[in-house]
Amino acid sequence: MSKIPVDHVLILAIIIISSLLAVFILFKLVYKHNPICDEYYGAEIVLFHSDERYKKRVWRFNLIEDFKNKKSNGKINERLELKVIVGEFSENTQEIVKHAANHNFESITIIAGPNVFCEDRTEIYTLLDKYNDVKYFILPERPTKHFMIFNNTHLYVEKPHRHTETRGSVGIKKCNRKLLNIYNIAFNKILTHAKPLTKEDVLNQQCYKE
Amino acid sequence: MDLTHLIPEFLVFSLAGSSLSIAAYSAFRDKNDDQKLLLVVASCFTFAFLVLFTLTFLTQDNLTGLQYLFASIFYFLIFMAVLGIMGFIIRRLIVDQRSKDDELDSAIDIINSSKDGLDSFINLLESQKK
Repeated sequence: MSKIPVDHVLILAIIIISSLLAVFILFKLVYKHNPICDEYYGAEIVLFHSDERYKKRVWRFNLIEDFKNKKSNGKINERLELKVIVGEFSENTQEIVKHAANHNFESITIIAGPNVFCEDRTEIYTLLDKYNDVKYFILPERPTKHFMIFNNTHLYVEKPHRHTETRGSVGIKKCNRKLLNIYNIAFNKILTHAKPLTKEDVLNQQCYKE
Repeated sequence: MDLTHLIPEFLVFSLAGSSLSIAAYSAFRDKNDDQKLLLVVASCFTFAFLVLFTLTFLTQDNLTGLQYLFASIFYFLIFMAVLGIMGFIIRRLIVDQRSKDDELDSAIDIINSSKDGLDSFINLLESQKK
């Protein structure tokens, strides 16, 4: 070891340190959170393909959990609100609604079409029985445009689809105010045409036969 | 130690590194940031290879005319191949960016078509009421 001149050791040290630095910068650059964004739509736009059921669910679960954390840290003081329009109050929607109800969302409004899947009726009954904050409304006609508004901040829009299939959808974090207002106004207008359903009514609701 | 003894090992290392990272890159099914990192690592290896390869050209001497010609052809071919690999890497990075742009476009299409249909659905409900 004594044969190695000092300046070689120095150069080696410089190389090691500079390569460490370069790798660090490289990781920072590559793994930088770089979402798709557009000022007319929102701060973060995520496209989900029709087969990414799990991804869609996790994305919405995370939004709900974020709100809960913000609320428990005192960053949000107002009531947490979830607005949902779907074709039918199916298993996927029930999961989201349950998750929201379990995470301090105090106002949950669901507007759905006149029919449900037959096997979902008892599940909806228990859901409405357990969570009093959940308000369930039905329309005389199945809505074609489905969306969810998370506490007037984030938006989740589904591609139009039939009740038997799932299609792609888009999630927007920190949605543009103008765009969100269009959806809010539409939601309120549609709500005036919907009639509330009690848990007893749900058991007699029309359903799709398999 | 003489530098010329080290060059073959370095060449093998850098070549193996670049091909391994490209192989690992193609093993990923869905695209994510890890894939991008592997592409960057592959380009580092190919750069290292090019630098060493240039060095071997500079250190060689005592070649006859014909030997020199053949060596030059060899260098030309290898440079072409390595630059081709780098072109591939850059193209992949561009394609990733483009698919991200396409994703934004189709997301905006979905939002617009959903937004435009809201009013007509409300009108439908109103006309039914009457």
